Amino acid sequence: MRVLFAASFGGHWAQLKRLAELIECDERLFVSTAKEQNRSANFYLDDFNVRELWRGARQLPRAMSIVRKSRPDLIVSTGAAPGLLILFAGFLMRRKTIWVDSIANSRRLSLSGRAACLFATQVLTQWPELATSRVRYLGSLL
Amino acid sequence: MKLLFTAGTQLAFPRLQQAVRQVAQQRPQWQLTFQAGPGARLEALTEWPNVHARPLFTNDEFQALFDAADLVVTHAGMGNIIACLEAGKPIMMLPRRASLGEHRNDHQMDTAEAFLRMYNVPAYESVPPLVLAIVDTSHWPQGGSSATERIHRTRSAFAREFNALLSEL
Repeated sequence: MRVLFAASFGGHWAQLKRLAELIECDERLFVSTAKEQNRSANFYLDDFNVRELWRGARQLPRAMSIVRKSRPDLIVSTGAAPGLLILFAGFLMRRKTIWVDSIANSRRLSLSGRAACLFATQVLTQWPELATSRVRYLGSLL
Repeated sequence: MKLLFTAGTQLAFPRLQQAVRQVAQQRPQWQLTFQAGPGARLEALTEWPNVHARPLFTNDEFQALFDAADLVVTHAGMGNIIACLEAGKPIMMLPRRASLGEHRNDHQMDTAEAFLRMYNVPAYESVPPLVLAIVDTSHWPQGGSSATERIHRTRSAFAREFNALLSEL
């Protein structure tokens, strides 16, 4: 199984790297942001936040090209908006997608996580009290 | 003493910069490093020879500064919290507040509250009590391996459940 992991640089990336170590798969590919600071990803997007829809929409072709090139069986994102964009590109290309909401969101699912509920195959929270019929809790990184 | 202050990689954090300046003044013999965040205005810190401040350090530079630090003082960002708990590094938090324009929402207040409860990571609401806690080393939290063991157990359980989910998909 080939898995494409996507997260913006910073705390989301820190969680993504830890999560990737836990997942049993044959090949791991990474998408991130901030190429000049963060050299360890295979593909890059420009960072944006979920309210800047135009900056996200403009990068959708690049996101789809990343999914096409990496041919993943599964896409996993820990956020934030750039990860959501990759997940959405994967949804358009009929890939399985999993959103893992950041452990930083202990009281409410992130806005990006609520958007992921609209199309992701699975949405996970890292806090048991945030689980719903749509959002599952399977544990956490801390 | 070597202290690493970090505002993360996304946004500047003027209140953390105030804390750096006050600690620099009160503890001139300590070495302070400050990753201030993109767009930070660092002119006010140049008068302090014991402060090394930059908007961003590269990953490798940051890792070396982190490894050398006796205490990490950070916004309530997950990258630093994870790294400190895994390494058993003493950490203090000053969560960003939306009402002061420091973030888009108050999730850092929630994060700080949650990690105070779960891992006993001290969090401060404002600069004065944070500075008081920093300058008196008897107030520093203990690092150590108990968090490391707990993280290992938590992740093993998560890995089992997550991989079971993958086999269902």
